[in-house]
Amino acid sequence: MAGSFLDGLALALSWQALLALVAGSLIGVVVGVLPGLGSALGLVMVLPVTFGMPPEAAMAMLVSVYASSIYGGSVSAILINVPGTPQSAATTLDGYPMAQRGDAALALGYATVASVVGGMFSLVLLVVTAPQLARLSLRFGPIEIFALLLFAMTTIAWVSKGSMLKGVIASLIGIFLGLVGSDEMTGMVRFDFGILQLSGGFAMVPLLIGMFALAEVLMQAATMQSARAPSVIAGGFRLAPWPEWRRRWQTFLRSSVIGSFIGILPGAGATAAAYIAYADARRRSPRKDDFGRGEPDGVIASETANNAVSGGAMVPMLALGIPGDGVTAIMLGALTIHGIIPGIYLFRDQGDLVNSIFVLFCFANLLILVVGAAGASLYSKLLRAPMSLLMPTVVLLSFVGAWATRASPFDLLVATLAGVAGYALRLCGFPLSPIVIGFILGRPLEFSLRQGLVLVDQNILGFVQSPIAAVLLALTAALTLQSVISVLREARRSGSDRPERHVD
Amino acid sequence: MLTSALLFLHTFSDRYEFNPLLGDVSTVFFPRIVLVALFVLAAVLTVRGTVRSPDDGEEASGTLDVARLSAVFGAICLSAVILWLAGLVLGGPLVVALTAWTLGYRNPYVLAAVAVILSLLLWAVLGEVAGVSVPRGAIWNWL
Repeated sequence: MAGSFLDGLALALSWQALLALVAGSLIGVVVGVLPGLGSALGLVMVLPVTFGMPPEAAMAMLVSVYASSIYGGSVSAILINVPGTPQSAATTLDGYPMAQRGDAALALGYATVASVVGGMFSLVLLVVTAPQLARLSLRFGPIEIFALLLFAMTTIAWVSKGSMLKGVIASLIGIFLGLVGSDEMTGMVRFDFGILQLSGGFAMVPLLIGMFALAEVLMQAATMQSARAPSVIAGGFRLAPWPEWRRRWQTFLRSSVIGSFIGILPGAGATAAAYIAYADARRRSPRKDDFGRGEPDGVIASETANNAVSGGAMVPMLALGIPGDGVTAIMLGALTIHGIIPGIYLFRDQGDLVNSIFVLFCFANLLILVVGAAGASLYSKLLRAPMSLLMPTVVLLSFVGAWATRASPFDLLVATLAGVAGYALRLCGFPLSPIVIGFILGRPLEFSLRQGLVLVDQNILGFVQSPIAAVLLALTAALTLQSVISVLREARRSGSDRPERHVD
Repeated sequence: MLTSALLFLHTFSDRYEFNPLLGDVSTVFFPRIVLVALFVLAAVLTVRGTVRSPDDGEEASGTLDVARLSAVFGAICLSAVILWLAGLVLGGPLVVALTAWTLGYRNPYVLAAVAVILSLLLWAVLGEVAGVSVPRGAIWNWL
């Protein structure tokens, strides 16, 4: 155990890993600070860069981009009242009023420390629970894996942003896209329509790049008001005196717990965690009325919780190979590209690598403090950079990234089409994360279903004979039923609303 | 809905005919489940769309600048072709300049500097240091 930890520490302290960690932190903060970019896009952009790296350096870069991009979102939330990432939306409520009254540096200080505290708390949870959960997965055969994946996908679709129905449809689209290409069990090629490049299926990176990066460029193009940069309040970095921190420790603790546990749940995500922690802090605070007017507890609650989600979300991803949201789905895809297959075998056979991930996650969180303090004065300048100059950078990086996968012009075409599709889907209110999660989980879902059917002699009722699978399938059925009822209820309500609206 | 229906019909083509030698479950068994579910849910969404106004969280806020959107879409398509044909070093600056211009950026000096520096930086860091494959330009192979 100690030997494995030391091996992990040695891996994490390699010069490639440390260099990647620092570079990832800087990139992460930049994509977090700039509204419209965000964690998913940041990860997608750096993914091709990691192709030539050893696994620990690749993980260092991905983990640091993930952790620091969530923090970066708070900077723009505080300085321009626009969250750089959706996870920091709740930070605007008190962060921007603090900046307006001249306390921008103090608000950034609170946000930075809160981000580090939340991340470190969730790291403890990750270290403690992930190996246990992975051990539990030893009891999982194909039937249980199928039930678990189905349950995870249903939950993700259920809680996804906007319409639940659209979330489910998005998941199914993702699953179908993942099924294109050769069938793992028989080697037969499906849905290739005679296109040679499709016989190996869609490559993940061009698809992700199109869906997240190019779709964002189109979104910005369609809604951009002018090439002018927003008005920015000057930043800075200042830490509050010690007594201020001491009297707020409960907010730190409660928000860390909320964020970490919400992170473990599939689909809930950091945005929900931040709002829940914010509401909880407000409810319990003796200064309730100050919330929304620049109360530091509001910034602390939001930023602690959204960063705490990162470690929580990595628990099911590392232990079971189930991503909780779009960002961890990209992380999972990146892991598999580097030959790292999450689950019990990862913990058993590559303990040193798992430990290096834990150590790197710890370093990534601590680096937030350094990057946050050192770069605070630069962020205002960064926020003044016009979108019309930043988006072309994203386009170039996207195509270079799409090319890097297989050096094929076909992938440039896939990225472009995925960009258009991603934009159209976003415009129609379809969430993109379930598509990515479906794409990644589609094949394991099919594989476990078919293996399970062979085990139970094609008798589908055999699936409920396993207690674990029975519980998971019952939960899935309950969620689905609840969804159907709410859709019907919604339809009836809108039907009865319709004449009134017409009269109006 | 239409796509899922057509794809579902496609699963009945001869090439997917069930062969017991290749396993106990047909290769299109699971895709059929997915496509049927997709068809049904798309139908529900269509029906819902006809009986109520769309309000399911569409992201479009305010008016869409269709002219700029079309221009940027054209620039993106052209960028893919330029990078493939001319490569990163020569095509990269063109891609950045073209997209920035369509997005409304009008300072030619800054634009030229950013476009050239960014392309060279990507070529050096990704192509030369990290060993990642970058577009070299198909046109040079033909010449």
